[in-house]
Amino acid sequence: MNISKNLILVFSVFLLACESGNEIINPSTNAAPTKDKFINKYPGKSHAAVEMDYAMKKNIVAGEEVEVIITFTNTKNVDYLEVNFRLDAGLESVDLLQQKNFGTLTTGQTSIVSLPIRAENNGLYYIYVVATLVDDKRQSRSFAIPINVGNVNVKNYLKSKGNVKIDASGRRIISMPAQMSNKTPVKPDE
Amino acid sequence: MLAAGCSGGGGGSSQNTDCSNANEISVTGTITYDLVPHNTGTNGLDYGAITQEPVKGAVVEMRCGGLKYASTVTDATGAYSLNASSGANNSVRVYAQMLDTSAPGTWNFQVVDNTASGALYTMEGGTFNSTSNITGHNLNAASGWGGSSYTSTRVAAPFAILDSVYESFQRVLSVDSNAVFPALNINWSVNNVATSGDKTVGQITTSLFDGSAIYILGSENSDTDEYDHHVIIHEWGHYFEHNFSRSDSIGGSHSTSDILDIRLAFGEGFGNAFSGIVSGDSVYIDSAGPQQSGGFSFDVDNDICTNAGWYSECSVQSLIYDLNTQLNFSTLYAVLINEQKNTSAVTSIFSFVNALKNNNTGFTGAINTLLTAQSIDSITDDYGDSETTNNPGSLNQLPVHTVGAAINNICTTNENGSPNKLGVHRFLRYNFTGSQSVTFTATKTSGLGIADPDLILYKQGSIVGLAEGTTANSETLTVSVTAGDYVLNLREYNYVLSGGTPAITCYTINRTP
Repeated sequence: MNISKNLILVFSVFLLACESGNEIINPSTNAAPTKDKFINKYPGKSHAAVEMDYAMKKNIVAGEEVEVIITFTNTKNVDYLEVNFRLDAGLESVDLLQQKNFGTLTTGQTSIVSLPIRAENNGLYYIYVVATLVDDKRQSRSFAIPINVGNVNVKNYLKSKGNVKIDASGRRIISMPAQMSNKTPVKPDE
Repeated sequence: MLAAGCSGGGGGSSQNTDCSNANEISVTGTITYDLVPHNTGTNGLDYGAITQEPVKGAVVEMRCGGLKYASTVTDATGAYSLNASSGANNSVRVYAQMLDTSAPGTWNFQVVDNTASGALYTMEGGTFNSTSNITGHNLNAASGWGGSSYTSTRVAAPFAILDSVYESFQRVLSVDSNAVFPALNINWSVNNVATSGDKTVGQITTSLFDGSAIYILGSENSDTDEYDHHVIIHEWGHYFEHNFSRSDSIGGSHSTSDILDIRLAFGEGFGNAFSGIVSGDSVYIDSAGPQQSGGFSFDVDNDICTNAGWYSECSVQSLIYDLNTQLNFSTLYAVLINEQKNTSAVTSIFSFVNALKNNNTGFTGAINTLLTAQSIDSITDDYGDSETTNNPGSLNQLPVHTVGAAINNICTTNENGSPNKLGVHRFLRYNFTGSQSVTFTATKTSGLGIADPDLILYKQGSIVGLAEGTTANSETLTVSVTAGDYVLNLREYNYVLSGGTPAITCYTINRTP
């Protein structure tokens, strides 16, 4: 692997932490703490008690092999952690671990996977990860790791949105085809 | 005479293609979608057991010559009836939108694509041309499943989401026919993946409610939630709590085994319980993985929780589900839209159950039994003062709300995790008898070498003052208050940012005057 370790970029909220934050007195009602803009503060669905972080080189070019270092941290004691990986079409790995199992883990213990990946063409790709914690029950959490090869404009690499059009009222709609069943004409006198 | 798929009136046809033709025909039919159920053995989706279910309450339009001719909404069986122009080129369009067409309308829920500038999903039938009335003009939204992957447009997905929303708001209407629902967009896309970033390219973090809209995962072979009924209702529950009740939840990542900030524990536990109450199915299933073939489930009716207590999402969901069974949803709803909405404390299991007990004194014993099963002491107030026995971890986090003008030793910790786990935030309560200016100071006494305490003052859930400077080891907040009860939230920002090595940092808190 041709990895330049000193170029590894850790995607972490620490790097984004605000250095300012002077005291604010009596802001408007329900103002949110400005520091919180770096924190996921939305209520979402329940998942397994596991967090994931990842690090990789930035400015990836087509054909270049890059190592993605993925770190899992379980927030409960578990019998084992099972991690499944899948790559978007066009993204390859010479050492694809479709599944990786880690043994008994205690709260706060980290589990690390290094995944070398490469794409021959520019584009937006994802590594899809499902981490499952197993103890007396199984609970999982899904993640996706974006890989931007060639610093592309991501919006140009989205999957098809279908037939987007503006209707007569100016509303943007996506028109999708319906399945039709048999139509029964009724005689006018019915 | 019927000429389905006719493209025009030429070619020797005698049919009239003029949409302004005074003669009309009646067209009736049913709108359905492919529901992909769960395999209860794997918790994955079972494409071999697809059923066609009615699209309820959705806007249906008769179109003629490419323009709207008439519109209606489907009934609870998916049926619709519309007039069409006789002998003209008509078609039926169904919107992934439920709209109250009475005046004034009280709901407007629509499923849109956040990666396509919020475009509204619709499905359209083929063009038909008839001079006779038509029955059975049925449209179905297909799943798009091709045997091992999605091979065509996933038309059913927006309508499956709509169905879960229909059940949710109908449940509310069943106990409050006057309920008015703020308009809501549910954002779904095949591009929606579980990573944080730009929502307009689908990087939505997870299925969530962001305070104004719901976002739902849709990425095939990774995590799709459109058929995960309980997930949709859970997120709609957050919308409901936000708009009808009050949620002080700080959000973020959570699991049923976590020791959580009490505001988050209540919101998430409520969402899970609400999904069971609305669906009538206590088993919450969330599918994921390659071919959507795996997933996990838990039973909100299960009373056995890992780390049970007043800080547990699992305990909250179990309690609310059982309380709904023993009392009824109408009783719970009344507390949510009244006492829980107006409590001076932060919203938690304490404020909810205290009001429920006050309103239903005949159930005190039964409620206490349920609390005991979740390792929660008998609740007698909104603040959790009654909690004296169940303290998780090494740091004493009781009382839940500390009282006093000068507090010598109140501590934060990341020993239960961060940024939203129990102990990162601590609460103090104050009562003021009149308008005045007041200053709070937090000064570190032990713990982190460089601490970063923040102070946030709340009145009934609204922030009235905050101090979040980066001065090492101390923080000062000066704020004007009026008569009433306030909650001061002390948080250690280093613990917000990182779990790290479990640690405890303590402070003195002074209030002057």
